[in-house]
Amino acid sequence: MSRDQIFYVVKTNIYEIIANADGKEVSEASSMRDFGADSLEIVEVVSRSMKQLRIRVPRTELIGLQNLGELVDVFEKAIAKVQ
Amino acid sequence: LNWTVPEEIAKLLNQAVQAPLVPRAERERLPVLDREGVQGIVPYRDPFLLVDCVTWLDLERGMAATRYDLSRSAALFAGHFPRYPVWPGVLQTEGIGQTGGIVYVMQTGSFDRPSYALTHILAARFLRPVTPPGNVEYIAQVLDEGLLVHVVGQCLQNDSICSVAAVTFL
Repeated sequence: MSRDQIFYVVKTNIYEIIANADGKEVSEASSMRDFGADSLEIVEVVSRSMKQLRIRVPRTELIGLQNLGELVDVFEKAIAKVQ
Repeated sequence: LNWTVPEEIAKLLNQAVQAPLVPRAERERLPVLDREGVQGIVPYRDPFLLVDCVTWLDLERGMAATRYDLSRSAALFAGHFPRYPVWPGVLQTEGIGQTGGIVYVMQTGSFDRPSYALTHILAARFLRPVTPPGNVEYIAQVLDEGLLVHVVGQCLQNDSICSVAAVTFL
């Protein structure tokens, strides 16, 4: 799975879960906080993306991520591990 | 806000409304785990441990059935309600959640967690009142979604479905 495909999964979930993201551009430099996401919405986006990508990432690896690009980095590594 | 219930969970809820998710004959075997065993798995304690024993367990399907003796909550029935004791719907939902928690811990081996956070009650329907004396039974199925864990379950009394609920915890 390419990086673009991983990002597409995350982006789709952002549009589905975070109401304020509607109509706004979501890039790898964006943070979910930019769209007014609360902590639970962030967990929902990450959790649903993990399920769709069929990966498991320990919570400790998700702490301190600054933007969506860094989240995609973590997912990319997790996918490489299971392949 | 997006308040829709995921399709997989809606499908399970529809099944749960119609019939016990595990037949009575299977649930009435000897307990696979007693109260002490349950306390070794989940962090709930009296007066909020709402499961006395696990009567049936299938970790591959992510399912369990549990039982609780309502007489343990006699003090609560004094107030809910004095002239018509009813097991509260919120506690039925909690019992379903605790049953799912037992499955989750046994599946993942995460025995040392000090607590769980309820994040959603996705749906709940209360079909008939649960009244003392006697037991209630909970049947729950766990759907693991990465960080979040969904639980779909039933509360039964005398093999009648009294409520169904879907909850999510973290």
